[in-house]
Amino acid sequence: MSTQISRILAVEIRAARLGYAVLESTNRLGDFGAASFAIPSAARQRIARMLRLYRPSVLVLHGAGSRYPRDMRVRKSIARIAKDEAKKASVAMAVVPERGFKSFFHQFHCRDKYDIAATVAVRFPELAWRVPPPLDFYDPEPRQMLYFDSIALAIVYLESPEKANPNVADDGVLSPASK
Amino acid sequence: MQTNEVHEQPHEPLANYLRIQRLKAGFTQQEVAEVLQHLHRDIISRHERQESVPSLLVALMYETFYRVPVSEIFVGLAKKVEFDVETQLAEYEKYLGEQSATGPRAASIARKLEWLSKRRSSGFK
Repeated sequence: MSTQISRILAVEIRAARLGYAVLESTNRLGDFGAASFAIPSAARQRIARMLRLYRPSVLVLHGAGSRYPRDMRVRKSIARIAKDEAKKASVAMAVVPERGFKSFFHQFHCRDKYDIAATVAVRFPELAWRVPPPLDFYDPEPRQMLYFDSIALAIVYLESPEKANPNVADDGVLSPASK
Repeated sequence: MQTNEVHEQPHEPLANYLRIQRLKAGFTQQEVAEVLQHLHRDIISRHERQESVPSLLVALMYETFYRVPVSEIFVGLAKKVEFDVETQLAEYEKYLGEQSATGPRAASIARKLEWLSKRRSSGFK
């Protein structure tokens, strides 16, 4: 299948922050970054601004299905906000389920996020210096990991043979596989 | 590998790619501002967020700093400017073609039309 992607905005959702990456093709990175917010509603302004600035053809989400009930409500709330803003901006939306995300990087023998970050850095060598070293389980996740998660998400969406789920339920539940 | 496909017209490029150039280089806005002494960090931020367009001097500073031509950093802006100028020029050429004049004015019009024709054939649109 040919690649006719114009620009995608991949957003990795966390409880109190989100990571984003803009890809214009599988090897052209337009931007990436992370944003923190105290309450989920504060994410609205940020997402709206990103949609306005990057004018993507697709908004790709991941991370709204959390294994931890404590985070799940907040993440789903952010996903709902993203859905609202995408609708307002007439931007198509897609969701990469957890299973699809993991199976994509499984082919590169990635066991964890650090392996995924290293794989992303191979594709974008200018980011290699940002790859965080593996930490102990009790250390907090480094901020730059969110950059790699977002870029990885964009890559999965662009290259995955399985179509990402374009439908998001009204309650913000993104995919059964991502629960 | 099979890839996802978005059935939409290709989008216009972003107005500028300043932020990704800086991120690739590993600089912060503050560090860029310190190197390019005429600039404040907030101004760089505004340029990156496409809230304002830098002056020619600052655009040339960015070109020198990142070693990337201005037209590549400001792709969207460059394309818009090109489109606007080409459109205006085509209209002006049409206007000149409709003129009827004699003497020096006729020679001036002929010269402009000749230049426009050469410009087109030399690779310009």
